[in-house]
Amino acid sequence: MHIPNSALKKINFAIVLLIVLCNSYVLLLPLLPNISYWQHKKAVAAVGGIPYKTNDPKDTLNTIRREPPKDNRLVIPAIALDEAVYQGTDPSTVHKGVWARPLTSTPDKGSNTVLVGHRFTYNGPATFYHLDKVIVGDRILIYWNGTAYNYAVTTTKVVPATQVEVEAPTSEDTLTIYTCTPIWSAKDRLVVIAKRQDLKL
Amino acid sequence: MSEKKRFYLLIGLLVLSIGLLLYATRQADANFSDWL
Repeated sequence: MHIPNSALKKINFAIVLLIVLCNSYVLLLPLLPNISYWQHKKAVAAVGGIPYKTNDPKDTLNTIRREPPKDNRLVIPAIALDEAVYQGTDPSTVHKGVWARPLTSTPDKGSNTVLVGHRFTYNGPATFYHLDKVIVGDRILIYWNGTAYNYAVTTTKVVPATQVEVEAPTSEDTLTIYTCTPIWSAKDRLVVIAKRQDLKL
Repeated sequence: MSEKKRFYLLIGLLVLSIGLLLYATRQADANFSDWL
């Protein structure tokens, strides 16, 4: 079949466009969470890092904060994260956002509460995209069945994907959060461990 | 380069790009089943 040169030129131009679109999607989409991060961080900073009202009567920022959430939520002010926590035994629960691992504890029961989420996906949430920015000493809050639990980060580390011991029960009230690392790969796990603090919320 | 040769070259590049797209979307979509 003979295709005239002028028609081939148009087809070639369309193919070039498709190639550019495909590669732009792969290269630029992973950078998008950075844009929303900086916008969201400003809003969180305006309420002193914690978006929900506290019990402290001297807390003047309470006037601009929202009512405490009724659903279970994870809040990490340092990276402007405020996400619902989902429970379930099906691993696909992680595609919704933060997944409370079914065979681990919950904040009200003490021991080791383990929360996981995707670092980045092209077709799902990038829940813990910024988890690598969390440092020792950062505060983490969990709203669980209407009660707020306060934690302070004590350890951040990268472990091989085979090191499942991070989910083991602990004697202290512990919160373990992990996600995939490096971004674009499921090779290792970035683990953030926090211990319960008895601070007034 | 003739338009016909360019066409075949671009088709090759398009196949590579789609391959990269499929690889990237599968690679980043980690599952946690090995941690259960």
